Amino acid sequence: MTELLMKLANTDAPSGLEGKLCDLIAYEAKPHADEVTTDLMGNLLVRKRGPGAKLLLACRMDEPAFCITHIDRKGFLRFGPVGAISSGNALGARVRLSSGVVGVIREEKHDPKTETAYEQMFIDLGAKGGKEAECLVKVGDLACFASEARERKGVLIGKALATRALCAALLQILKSFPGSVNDVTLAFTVQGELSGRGAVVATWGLTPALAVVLEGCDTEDFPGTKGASLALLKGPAILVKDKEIMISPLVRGFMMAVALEDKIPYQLEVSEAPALDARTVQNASGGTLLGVLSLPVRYRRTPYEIITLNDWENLIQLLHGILSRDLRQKGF
Amino acid sequence: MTHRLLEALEAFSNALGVSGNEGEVRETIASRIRPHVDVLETDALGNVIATKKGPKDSPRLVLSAHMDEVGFLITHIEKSGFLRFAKVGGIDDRVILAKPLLVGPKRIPGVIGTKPIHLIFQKEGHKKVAKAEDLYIDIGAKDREDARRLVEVGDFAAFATRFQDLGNGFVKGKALDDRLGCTLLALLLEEDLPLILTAVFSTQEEVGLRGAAVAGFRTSPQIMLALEGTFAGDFPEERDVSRAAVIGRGPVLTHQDRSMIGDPLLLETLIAAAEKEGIPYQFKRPLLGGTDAGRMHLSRSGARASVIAVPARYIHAPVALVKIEDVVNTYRLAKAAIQAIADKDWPS
Amino acid sequence: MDELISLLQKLSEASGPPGSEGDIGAVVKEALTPFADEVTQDKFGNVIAHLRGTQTCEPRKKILLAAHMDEVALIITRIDEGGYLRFAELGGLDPRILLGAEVTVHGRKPLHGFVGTKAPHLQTKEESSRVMDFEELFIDVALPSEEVEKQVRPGDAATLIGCFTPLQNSLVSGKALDDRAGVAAMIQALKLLKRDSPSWDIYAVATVQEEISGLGALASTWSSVPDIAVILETTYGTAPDVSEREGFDLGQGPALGMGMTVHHGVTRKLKGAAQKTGVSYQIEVGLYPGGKDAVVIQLAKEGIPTGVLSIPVRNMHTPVEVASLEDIVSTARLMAAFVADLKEWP
Repeated sequence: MTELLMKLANTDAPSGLEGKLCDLIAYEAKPHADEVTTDLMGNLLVRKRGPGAKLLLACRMDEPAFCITHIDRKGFLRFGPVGAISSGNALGARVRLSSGVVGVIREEKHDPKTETAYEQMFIDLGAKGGKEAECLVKVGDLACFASEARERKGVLIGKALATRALCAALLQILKSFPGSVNDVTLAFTVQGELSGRGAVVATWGLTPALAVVLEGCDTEDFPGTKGASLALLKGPAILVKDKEIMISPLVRGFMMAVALEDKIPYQLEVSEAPALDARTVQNASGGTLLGVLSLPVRYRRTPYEIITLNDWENLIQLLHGILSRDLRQKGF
Repeated sequence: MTHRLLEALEAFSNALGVSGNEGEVRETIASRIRPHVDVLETDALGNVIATKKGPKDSPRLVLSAHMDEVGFLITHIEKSGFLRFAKVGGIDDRVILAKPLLVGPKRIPGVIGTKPIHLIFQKEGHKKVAKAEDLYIDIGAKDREDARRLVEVGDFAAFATRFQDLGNGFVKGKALDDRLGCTLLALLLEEDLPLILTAVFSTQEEVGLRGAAVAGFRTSPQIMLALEGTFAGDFPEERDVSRAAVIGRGPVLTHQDRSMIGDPLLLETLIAAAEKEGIPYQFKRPLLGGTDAGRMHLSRSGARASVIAVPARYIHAPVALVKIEDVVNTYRLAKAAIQAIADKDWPS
Repeated sequence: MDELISLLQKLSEASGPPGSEGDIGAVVKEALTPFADEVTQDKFGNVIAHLRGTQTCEPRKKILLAAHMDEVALIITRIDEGGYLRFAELGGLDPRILLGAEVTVHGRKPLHGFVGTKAPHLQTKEESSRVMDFEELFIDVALPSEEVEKQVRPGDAATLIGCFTPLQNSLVSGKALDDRAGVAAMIQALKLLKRDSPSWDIYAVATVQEEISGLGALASTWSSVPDIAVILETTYGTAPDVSEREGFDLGQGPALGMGMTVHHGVTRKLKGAAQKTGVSYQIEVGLYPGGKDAVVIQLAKEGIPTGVLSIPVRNMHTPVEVASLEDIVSTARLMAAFVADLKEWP
């Protein structure tokens, strides 16, 4: 299980270039699915048919990254974020272009009292000049955090771990599928970091009785945070409310009941963060009943995120529990 | 060709059509294209959706250009007869001070007034940015009642700029973003095309790509091109950073902007068409701005989308400047693109 | 008028935090039933009243009237030691109005709560001179913490308690007049329309979750696909600190919205109906009049021509919102005249 997760984590998939990761997931999914399709945008849909109610499980494949906007005469690259990486988290990061070329993000000298804005940052490839840089990269190319994922005693550290762990969770569910009476579609979406764009297209024509979107949620269990709410090792988080959506008490209640009955630890999440894919999925087909399950993660959208296998396994158990119940009997 | 392009551009540029009030420009465009299309409809948002038949019906191709321009909305009439307003669309507060406008359906001339430098110099008032909510429009009315004979709260106001050929290869006018796109699209509809084409002249692009949202659902494109006017950043700049786009280097193509990651296969097709026809082209600096393609590429089951734009200086200001040669080359590329799209075997 | 006061009081006092509109839903359903052919509730909680018109043509012409029944509220985020409840806002709230306010906490059963903060004697000089933000406030339900843990869970909502009070000159004060005033106007409009037997089919919908996302309006537009929609909302009423440039006088009729979210043709017809019936109205110019429901409805599917009528309300999003009953009556009459006049469209 961990091996697959690490493999996914070490594959780059910036928003818009999820192909390699998509192929990897599709390859793992095919032997266990009734149907595997990709659409125009690159969303991957995996189907496990069933006679019961339609259930959609979704997570995104992409990670936030950087787009090269200019190659200057000396070979330094100007860039901007694709997805919500704060400039503070970008500074000093090692990045990798899709060609494999590696560079580092630095800043122009400026008044140390002000926070560096993206306009004052650049990527240094160590190129000997503009001409050499132009052979290595083009305007429009994308660069990801170049961190290697590592595991130590059930704690994982690496880039884009939360989203990759969610993809791995869906694959794991597929592999050890509990005979589900529900008609299940797993959607691995693209461009999720860009306000859930892929999910708009992926959900077209699907009218699930219930959709469950998998997300990462920021914990507040490190120095300087209030320390009273979301934390690692307390289990998956069931969303109550995000910036753009309200989860209906019917859905929230159902998920909490599954967790209690199956003795799975969980936390409740009330967030001010934007809902990304969740909002898009909720608006699909003129309104879909939606639940959001989150994997607690520290330092999301930075070069090194931290998650635990314990939380991940509990998330999978909870998904398992949701899948194995007949939705029609639960009010859906 | 050049003459026809400029003639249409002049008519479209001079027409009034601030976002949310595109009636006049809609009528100007509709009457021009009507004889050349097979179906012409207006939808709930005021979008004009026209279809022109062709020998092929696949892929389902939609081209769009937006009719609306940035401008102002009259929100209040003071007892004194001066008008208060809100900005419509992304206008920099700093370009509106002391500019002439046309207000309301009767095109009443007015000016955005400002306290003269002589009176503010001492207290350095000229060093502060004047915000739109503190400014007013003067139509010369005596009082509120006098003003109400000519204008109403809820009327729209646009810059009063008249289109002009400067005689040096450049033309100037207001609303070149996106009357340029409308001109290209209208003239393309006058040609014989290799496939069925749906043309969307959209509304409310400047206030959130709103017309495109519903036009996309209705037309359900498989391939979609937005024809735009985009800003050229070729002014004096010390730093070695991107210019966004440059006048004279031809039509501007986009990898990705704030609203969309362009389809790579479609972009490749556009590049190939340009090279085949020997048309110069340039790339826009990524991650800037948004277009109708941003909305329409997510319609229903999704569309391959891209943008072809004419570079122009000072868009979203009262007077924009564009090089005629760029307009002509963008037209040539748009036409070649349609052919290339029709000829290509698109993977489903 | 007495009937309207009684209706508005029932509507105002019912609870409907976004996502849990069950209580207010039941009240609205009961109020709409006498005037509709059928009243249903969809899976999101929207209450939909359908009144069939006299037309015989196909496809049938439909008009959607929408007013949201959810209200701004609080959501419990955690239970602190001692049983104090910490919370966040559901919809836009000024934290300053919460200090000293009373709320109903909707746990296993409704609990009476008091919003408090650190006692003034214990505050530092700095603390006592500034606004207490959401994180510094708490709800006290005056129960031992073990009892609180049994009754309340994070995610439960709390609604403001506002005593519905008639004031002078047909003005009333209460909580949630945004948008229960709109709902009341919609119910009254349907009552008038049932009597008038209009030709178009009417869908009068009390929507959910307007304060958060407009999901209710989205769902009801997709299921009814109307030819025209009119949103009944509230807008800012003038007051000493709300100038005539920012707000609208109470008692002068509803404000007709003009801006990006409205259709010129619909607005023209609304004006025409007002002039015909002699109902006074005002004009509200803004970029996106009508709240989230207007945006969502206008851009649904192929686009819906929309109009917006807003009832002026003072002190919006507080327990003491103030509105004029006359404005509700005017709005209802205007709506009824507008719908009755609909024959040809566009």
